[in-house]
Amino acid sequence: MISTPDLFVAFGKVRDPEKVLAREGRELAASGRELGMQFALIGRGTCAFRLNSPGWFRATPALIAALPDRKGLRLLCRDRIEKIVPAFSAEARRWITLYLDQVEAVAGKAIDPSSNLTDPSDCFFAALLPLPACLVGKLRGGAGNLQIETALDIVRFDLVFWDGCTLVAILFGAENTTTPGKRAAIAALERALAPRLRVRRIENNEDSVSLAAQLAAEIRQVPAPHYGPYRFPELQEPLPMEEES
Amino acid sequence: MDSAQSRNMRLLSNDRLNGFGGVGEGMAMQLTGDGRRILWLAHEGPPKNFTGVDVTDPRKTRVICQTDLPHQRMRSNSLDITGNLMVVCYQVSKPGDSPAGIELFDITEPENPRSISFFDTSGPHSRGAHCCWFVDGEFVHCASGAPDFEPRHPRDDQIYQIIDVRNPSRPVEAGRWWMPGTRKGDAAPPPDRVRPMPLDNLRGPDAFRLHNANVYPERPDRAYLGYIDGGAFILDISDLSEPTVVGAWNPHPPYPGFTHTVMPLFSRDLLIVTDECIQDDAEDWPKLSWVVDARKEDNLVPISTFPLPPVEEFGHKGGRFGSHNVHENRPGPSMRSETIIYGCFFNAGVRIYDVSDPYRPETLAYFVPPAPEGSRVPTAQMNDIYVDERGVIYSVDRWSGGLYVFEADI
Repeated sequence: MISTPDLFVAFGKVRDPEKVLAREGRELAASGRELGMQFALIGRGTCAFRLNSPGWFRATPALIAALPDRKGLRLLCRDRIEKIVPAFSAEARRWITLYLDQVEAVAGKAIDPSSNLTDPSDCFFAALLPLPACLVGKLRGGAGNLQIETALDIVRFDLVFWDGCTLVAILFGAENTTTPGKRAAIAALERALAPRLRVRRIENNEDSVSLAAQLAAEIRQVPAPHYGPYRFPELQEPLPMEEES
Repeated sequence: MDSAQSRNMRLLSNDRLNGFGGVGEGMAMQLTGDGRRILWLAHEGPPKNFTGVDVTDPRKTRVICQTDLPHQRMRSNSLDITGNLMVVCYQVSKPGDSPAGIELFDITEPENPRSISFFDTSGPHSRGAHCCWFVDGEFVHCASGAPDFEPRHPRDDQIYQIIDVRNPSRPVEAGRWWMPGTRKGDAAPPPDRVRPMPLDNLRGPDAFRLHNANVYPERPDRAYLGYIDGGAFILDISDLSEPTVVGAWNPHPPYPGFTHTVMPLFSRDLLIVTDECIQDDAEDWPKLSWVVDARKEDNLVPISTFPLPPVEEFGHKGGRFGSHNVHENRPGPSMRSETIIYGCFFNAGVRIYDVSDPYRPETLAYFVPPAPEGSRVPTAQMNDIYVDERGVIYSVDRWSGGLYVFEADI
């Protein structure tokens, strides 16, 4: 964590972000981490959230070691992202599949020749992490006393990406799928977070394909990660697997 | 409106429609070439046929056109618009009467609608057309009797008909479907009646006939049918001449019948299914709006219902109390939210729900107008609803209140 977080993203099967802040967000802040299984903290200097960022799912060394091959790891990653998507977010699920297919297609060509990765497809894990079904809002207070800023509405987006500078927030559908109140809340949040929030609308199939390609191509800009996917140094002991409900 | 009950909603205007404020369930918006916004309304009954209201300024609406029916034993009830083409339903009181069917109008000049053609569905067992859906400019999907259709039960006369209007001056039938067992001569057995009623009045409950058929550009191969006591059906209409059932769900019985609308939320694999309250004083309570899991369209599963205000407060206020129409997310100048649902609930007014969590729909806003002067019942009976793409909400009273225009803080 570079600075005190001032922005949160609660994602997945979340109804009340206050509850997730209490359960997960404050613990993240206290430990200097930024990405949890349902909550993300963002401040100035927060690194991009990528598929290989630690925290968004619990992958024990044993689980990863048991995978048959590198493809198995990619499939596990895809499976875990799909599991974050709530049941009634069909459009988000379809779009994430499209995006990850694009990432797979780009990954093989994105290898940095100087990297020590043994498999070009490992670049897959450098792709930006899609966070589905998000509630986005402002935070106030220090790391030890984080509170949701109530002066601004919390806004629901279908998907969010954090690229290290900008929160790319995606809404499916044209302007007329959004109520006037939500339009105003989005505008207020954009003003409050300027220039870090960028709202993108996917109105048709063309938008869908082009945004997926654009975000997938981002991995070409990324130097090879210095650690393998999900093997982050602070994880010493295997953690229990999350129960799927 | 001092005695209105409201939360997060404001009344912008109320137009009594020149004293003919009884409106049915046809509401559609036209954007004219000269930049006006005209809301077209089908009346609940005679003497008026339809009314065009200039709602460009929602605070200052103005009737610009109002037409009469040819006689008192019929009603229009429903209409729909694509561009400058309007379809109006005609239903007669007694099978065999006429005119029964659908009429097409050119409304390029909204002050002077020009009749283009009439598709006649009258017949010895037909009361004509009750409800229509017309959003693609090519096909009308309607609930109507037909000259050659003989139902086993007189109330089961209105079936699903697809009318090809690509040549608006010569509409032709493209396809039809009815619930098996309801036509005389069907191999399937007749359905068990949910709540048998005497036949002295053909309107109302105890019917296995179509009410709404909705077809959207997202899935032009699917029709979503509210088949009254037959429940909800999803039809494959990729071959318009031969619709086939791909999914069905029916809570009646034990619930008291009258599935009205089946509205898909495509990005979420959900359906909103409404029943219609059709009896005063909560005689047929509860009439619900259901959220249905449609991830597998051949295995529809109800997962929740919209919260309604207390029956002990509204059940005996007068008139009907419970679900009816929702804003149907039609294409055009229309709100198309898949998380916010706008509905009208007769004496419980206009109500807005958040279904972001479909297991727990929440009431966001409501407006219950006071009883309008001249109504048959001591409450407003909010009968239909339309929301434009700006979020302006239009609703109508069944008996006398006319058009109500709202905005909501949502």
